[in-house]
Amino acid sequence: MDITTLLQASADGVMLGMMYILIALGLTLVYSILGIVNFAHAQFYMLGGFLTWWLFGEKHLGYFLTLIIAMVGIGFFGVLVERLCFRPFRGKVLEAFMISLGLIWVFEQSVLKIMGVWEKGVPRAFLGKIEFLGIQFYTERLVVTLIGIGLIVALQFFIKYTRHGRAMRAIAQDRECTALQGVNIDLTCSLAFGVGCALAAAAGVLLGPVLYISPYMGGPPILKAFIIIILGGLGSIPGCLIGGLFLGLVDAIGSSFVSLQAVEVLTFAFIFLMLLVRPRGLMGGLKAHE
Amino acid sequence: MKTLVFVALAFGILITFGLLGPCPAIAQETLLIGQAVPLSGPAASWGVGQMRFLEMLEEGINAKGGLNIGGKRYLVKHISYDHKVDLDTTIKVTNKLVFEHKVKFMFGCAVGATCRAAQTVTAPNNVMFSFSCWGKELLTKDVPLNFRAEHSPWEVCDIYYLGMKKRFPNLKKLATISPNDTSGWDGGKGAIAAAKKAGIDCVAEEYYERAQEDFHGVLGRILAKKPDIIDLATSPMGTGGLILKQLHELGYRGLKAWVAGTMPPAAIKVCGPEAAEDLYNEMYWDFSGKYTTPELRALVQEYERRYKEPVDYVTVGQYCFMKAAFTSMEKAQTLDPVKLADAIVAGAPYKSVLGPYMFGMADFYKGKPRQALHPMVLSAIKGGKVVNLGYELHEELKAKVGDWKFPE
Repeated sequence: MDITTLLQASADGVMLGMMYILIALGLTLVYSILGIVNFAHAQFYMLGGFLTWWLFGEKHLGYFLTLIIAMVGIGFFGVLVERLCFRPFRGKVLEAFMISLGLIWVFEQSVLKIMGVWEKGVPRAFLGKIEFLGIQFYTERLVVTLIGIGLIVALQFFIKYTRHGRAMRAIAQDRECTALQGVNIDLTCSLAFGVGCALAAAAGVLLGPVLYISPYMGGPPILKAFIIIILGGLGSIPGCLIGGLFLGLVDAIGSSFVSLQAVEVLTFAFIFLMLLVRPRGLMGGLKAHE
Repeated sequence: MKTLVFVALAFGILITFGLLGPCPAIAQETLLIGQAVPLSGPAASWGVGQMRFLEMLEEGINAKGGLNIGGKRYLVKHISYDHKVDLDTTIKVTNKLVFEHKVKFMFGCAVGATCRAAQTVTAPNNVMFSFSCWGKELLTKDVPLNFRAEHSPWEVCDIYYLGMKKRFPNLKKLATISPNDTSGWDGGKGAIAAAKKAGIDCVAEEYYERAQEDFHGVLGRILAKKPDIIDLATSPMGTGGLILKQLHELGYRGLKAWVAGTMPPAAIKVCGPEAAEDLYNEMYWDFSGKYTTPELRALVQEYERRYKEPVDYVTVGQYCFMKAAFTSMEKAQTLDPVKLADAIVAGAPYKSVLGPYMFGMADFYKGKPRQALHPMVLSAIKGGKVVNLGYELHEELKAKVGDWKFPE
């Protein structure tokens, strides 16, 4: 096993893991606060990707400005979706599940109609490589990883130290008591949904130049997000981090040293074991709406 | 009495008007053509294209009053269902087409596994089924009404690698990367077998799940084997574009092959022109350039005018088949799928937009001649543009049309 290749593969794995974590965090946040499993969550990742193609690729706006616009714009769009589509069905798990499935189709087909069937590429945002301790890392992937880490840290800060973050934690623990404390439940839920969508959009912006953009690009990440949540535990942010890093590293190291088919087998074998040994996931716990 | 006279008079007037009213000289019927095609998902470009070409043909035929068969006029109408690249859905919509809509002809399908699913319904019910799916088992003697409308890697690979070895005599090592399913394995194995005949050894053979997103790891492993040429086999356009992009990032500047690349311009949109430089393929060429027929150029122009999207080889192949089928229906004066199948083969070669178009490969597929054959054009990406370099005729086609040449 070549140590240089191992370190480079690990760097790729961390990058991928960060992106999956961003998507999974939004999903787990929405579940913790609103009690719904939003299968359409990765569609906001797809929308972020298309916005990147348009603003950064076609209109040549700055990369970081594109990131901010995508997060804010799609975050607000998420708030609208929550208000119109999910709020009427709060507390009704099956109905919310059906709504989210319908939204997948609506988003995909709408984008397909507007943008066409062919995939699109986004020019690379950062070229070249950086050498560190004799190992060469691709600048673009490094920047994406660092921004991903930054967003995760920002989310942790928001959840732990801001008023709205504390309100979200309180709702996750006990919605009724939180309401009795005078917290605006509707506003907090909308904010949580918007933040989740903003994180997914950020992943779309960051991965857009690395991969490619397609109306169907939401499919694989939502599956990975659910795997992360199963591994880490539904409703657990630290669990998401561990699950995401595990998934990214297995993917990158497995494909570098074994084969791509082995990666699939290893991932699902581990999930199987996890469900047998600890069905709640590594760090899953009870939440208020269970 | 007065009432009786009034009623009789009114009745008589009504009958008279009825008899005097317009009456078609020939009774009009509807010929229903079914399609179970991918209208969503990554393969949508193929399904949507096949549906559009059927619409265009339908309009042309119906504008002339329909097909004249057995003294009746048949207006062509299509019903296209989205199989979503899902086997259960494919069987469901095929059942609907065959048992509810009672179609006897299904023109169009893409993605190997879905074709195999659809033929479990079409074959026992004697429904003619034309498709763009790859896989040897789709044209055996057990499915005599199946037709493949364009080349698969099996028809293309041998000629492709012999041609590449002539152009690049130092080609010695091949690496392949292809999806991990029947189409992918057909493409990968086909390329390896053909390359071996041309004296090129395979040093890396990789398969990936279609949901795979990042290829840095596996490409690094491939590049460690120092291949002279990397074949993307049956990779879909977006994924192929990403592989080309990441190969370029990893520093690979050698030859690329995409034996089953049906739409490289779509891949260039993903990877950029530099990454696609020196990509050689025979499943796509510049439809407006050298070695094309004027009819193909006109067809592509019309399609792009109507739909504002580029045309894919797979869909052009299906257009050629559908046109041959409709022509044969009128020529053989039959709508019986079994009789029509023989008539389609007997009526070849057709003067199609791709040049002479016929059906063969009965021995290879151990069945009837149901594989479409037409001139194969070799192209390469140079400076971001597709450049047509030359063409070859499959030996069975050459035996039929001799030394046919593209019009100057």
